[in-house]
Amino acid sequence: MTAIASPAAQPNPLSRGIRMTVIAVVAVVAYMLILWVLLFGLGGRTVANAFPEALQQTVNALSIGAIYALIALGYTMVYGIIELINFAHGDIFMLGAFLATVFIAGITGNNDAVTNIPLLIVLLLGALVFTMPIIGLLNVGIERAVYRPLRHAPRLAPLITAVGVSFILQNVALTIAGSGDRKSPQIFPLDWTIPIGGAQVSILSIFIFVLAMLLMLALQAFVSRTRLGRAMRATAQDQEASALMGVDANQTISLTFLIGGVLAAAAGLVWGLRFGFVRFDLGFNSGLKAFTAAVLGGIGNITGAVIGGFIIGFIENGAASLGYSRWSEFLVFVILTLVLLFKPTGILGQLTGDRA
Amino acid sequence: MTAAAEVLRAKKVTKRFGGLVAVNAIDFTIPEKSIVSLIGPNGAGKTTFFNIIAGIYDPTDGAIEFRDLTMIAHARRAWMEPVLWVAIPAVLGILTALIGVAGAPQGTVILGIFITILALLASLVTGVARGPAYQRFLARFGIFRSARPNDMVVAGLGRTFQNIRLFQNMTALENVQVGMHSRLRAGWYDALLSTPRNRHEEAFSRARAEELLELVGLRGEGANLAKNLPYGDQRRLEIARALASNPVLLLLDEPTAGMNPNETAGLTALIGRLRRDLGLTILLIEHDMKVVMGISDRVTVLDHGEKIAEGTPEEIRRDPKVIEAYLGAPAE
Amino acid sequence: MTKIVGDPNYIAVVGPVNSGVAKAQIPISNAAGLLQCSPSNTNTALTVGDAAKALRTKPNNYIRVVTNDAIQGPAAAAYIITVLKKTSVYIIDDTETFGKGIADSFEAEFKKRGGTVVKHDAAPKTTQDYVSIMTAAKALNPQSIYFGGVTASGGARIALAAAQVGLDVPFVGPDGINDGSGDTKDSFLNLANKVAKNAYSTLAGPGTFEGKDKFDADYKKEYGIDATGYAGQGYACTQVVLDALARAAKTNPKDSAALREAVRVAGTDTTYEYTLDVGKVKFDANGDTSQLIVSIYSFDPAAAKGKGDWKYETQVDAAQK
Ligand SMILES: Nc1ncnc2c1ncn2[C@@H]1O[C@H](COP(=O)(O)OP(=O)(O)OP(=O)(O)O)[C@@H](O)[C@H]1O
Ligand SMILES: [Mg+2]
Repeated sequence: MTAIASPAAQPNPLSRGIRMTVIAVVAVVAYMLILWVLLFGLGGRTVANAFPEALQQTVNALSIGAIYALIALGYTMVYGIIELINFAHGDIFMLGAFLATVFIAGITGNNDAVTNIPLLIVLLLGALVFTMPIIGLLNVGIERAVYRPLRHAPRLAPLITAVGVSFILQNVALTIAGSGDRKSPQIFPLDWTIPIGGAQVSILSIFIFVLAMLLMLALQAFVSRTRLGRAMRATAQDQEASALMGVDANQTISLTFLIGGVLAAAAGLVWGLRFGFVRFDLGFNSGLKAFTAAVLGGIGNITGAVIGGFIIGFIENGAASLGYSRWSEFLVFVILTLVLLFKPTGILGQLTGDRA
Repeated sequence: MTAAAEVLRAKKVTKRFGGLVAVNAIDFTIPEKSIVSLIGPNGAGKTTFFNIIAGIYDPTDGAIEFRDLTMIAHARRAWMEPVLWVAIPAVLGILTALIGVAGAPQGTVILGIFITILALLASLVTGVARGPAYQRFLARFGIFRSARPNDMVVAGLGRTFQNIRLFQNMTALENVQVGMHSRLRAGWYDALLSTPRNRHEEAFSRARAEELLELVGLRGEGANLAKNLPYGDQRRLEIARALASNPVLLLLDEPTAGMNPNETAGLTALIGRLRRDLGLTILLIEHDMKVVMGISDRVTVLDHGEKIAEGTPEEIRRDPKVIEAYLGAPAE
Repeated sequence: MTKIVGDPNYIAVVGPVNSGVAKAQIPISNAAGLLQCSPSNTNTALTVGDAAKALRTKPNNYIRVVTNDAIQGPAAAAYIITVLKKTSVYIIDDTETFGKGIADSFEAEFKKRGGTVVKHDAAPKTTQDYVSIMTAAKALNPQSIYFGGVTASGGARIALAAAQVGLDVPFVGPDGINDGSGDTKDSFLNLANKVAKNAYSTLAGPGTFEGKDKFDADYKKEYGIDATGYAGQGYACTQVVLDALARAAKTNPKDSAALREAVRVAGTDTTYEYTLDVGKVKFDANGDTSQLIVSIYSFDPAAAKGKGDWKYETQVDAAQK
């Protein structure tokens, strides 16, 4: 009844959070310093002008990493709960990007940046509120219609079906939007920057990073401190046992797809803001990278997916910074292969899906 | 009928796995607030019988009635249910249309339409509410909607596992909170908006979980991951988790397996307390005869899927068939 | 192409538009001796060198009215240095045959003319984050950017990213980004409209010729859309084919197979001088045109009813060097 004096064995979640934050900050700073050194060591920059560049690139890495992390969460959560590699998830992200584009373009009617701050906030929130539920429910619908009937089929069946769903979604987008780039209105003013240490750090990058972090923290809080979140973790660990404890597996799985879709939709929105275009096959590459991120972090593990997303962001950014962008994809897939070969459980291992 | 006093009735329950008859035509009842034990040699079919009760398997034959409801794991003729909903209003609607065409006064036709709409609403309400009477009514037509394991929990059944199946990577407290899942209501919007309901439920479930941990003797262990608890404590935690759903009937599958005599004695006492203090009905599978004979009101003996004896511990102890099949085994 | 080749009623083909497609078609049409005139293939390897030889098993059947990338790329370099007066460039290509090829020939010429190439990077069309690449480019302080590739392989995305990081210098690309006005779906100008104010593109043919205004007006009347990119060249190819047919007819071929061959011979005749809408041209033994003109376009935001369009600037004639 009374508060529990927790024995020293288990560090409390707050101190764990602080530890993770410290590690993350150290990693980011380390990346920046290494990039700085590499830029004047290999890239032929001077020591002084390499610093602002390193800083700026670190911010870039954080924002693309945040996008990958948001997508990776959908892969990892679905895998954690039903051991399905949901190949269609990248395309869910792509549809999110399209929907956000359609929403914003429909309201603003042009591609101009919106400099009126309250209006910008309303537009961005509106786009989130519009796209997140639709894409989330679409993801739930796909699970309900396609994956659920195959839940007890051999593992390969839903996997192949997921590939099929991916093709279907891509073709739907292709049919509706055509094969070229579609313009995505960059309503977030790109010339809003903060001068830090000689670099012009774009506020959009910061916005993307902060939005992603907020969503991830909300997810973390949801998973660890609510009834449904606990049910999700329990189902991931032992679906039968959790059912016998009264947790409705179907409902919980639907919820997982909902959350995955919602996060992918948010990633889609910020994608459009940052890169100014969407295309029907966007989900393929982003999806593959996010999947790599999930595997790298330990598929099934939420924190792992976030870490993996940022690592992929850093790798890609590092390659681009040093002028090896043509190798960045190659590098990412080499990493995927190496992880699968030597540490299939990823950096953190599969925490949530530790089955009986 | 003494129906009210029986929490569970098994009627000629049979379960086959391919050619193997794991459970054969077992009739079995559990009176309210009793402790009933199920014993039998290894492979006798005890766990299988348990799983049928818990809604994991459907019996190949026969039926389980839990608190007067027939529970099955897989839907049967479920498609007929919506047909039934629509059938009555449809008949009414057609009748109304017919009398309308036949030239009945306008008032009558409007009344007919009104009645049709009422019937539609009524079937909708019954269909959604699904009261026990409605389910019995459906059962008479052979229509069963599935009672998945989680529905059994909602209906009032809690259980533990022969081989511990805690959520190893969650804390003891969280394990118990998961057990409470079906008794809590907070949805995703509550979580998202952090509504008062959410906060209240979180606080309540935490307090209640701590209470339950204390009840099973795990006071102060709430923050430990399940996998870090000693074996005996894990068994106790399973019981706390099972209790969290406020069950009417508690199924315990070999709760003392692997425990030392000291721990066993403690757990036996706990089971006794559960019935006395919480008024639970308990079905126990147990190999340890001291435990079984000490606390059971009634003992049922299975062997090769057959019920070979049933009675008070005294009667069982003396039953020659039991002695031959079970007690006479050299291991005991 | 296999179908066309098999039908004796076809005596010549105008096309294809893409070099990649030509690479697949030439072996088939060549084996059948079917004259092909492309209005827009600029890839050097289609006509020159061992790669071109490997495509052909019979005498040449392929000619084109545009010049090739070995001329187009260098022309852009010449323009940047002599007209725009920029002495340094950041080059990025899309790693594909066309993009890399033209970027390489651009780079060689740019260096030859004494310019500085701060970096020649490459990003495949599947690249996600062009912003990071452009951040790196900006740190190198180039006075201009040259993109080797087409719109679909990242042209507009790179222009957008460059603008986003504040790299506000001339953005020059080949005919791959000269693909219509701001009103044309999927075109460079449509996608990069806002940031295209400093964009330039090239076409591997004359951007203006006698009667171009009338041609554009007639084209618009006939098809209801603006004549873009290589429309004039398309017409030129048609003229070539008709001219060749007229000359072939004089030889009185006895059947359709003989006619086809006669058209091929007449079409690829290296001594004959055609008078086309784009001017007087001859084709060499490889099938390349004698007209080594590359035209340069800049962005005109007011054109195409305010959607913006390419505006002919000037042309660089490599023959008169
Ligand atoms: N899922 C299954 N598929 C096939 N056969 C099964 C299955 N589950 C149990 N059996 C078989 O049914 C018989 C009864 O098994 P059960 O687990 O019910 O025995 P038990 O009485 O619980 O034994 P123990 O005392 O060892 O726990 C055994 O022969 C077992 O091998
Ligand atoms: Mg058993």
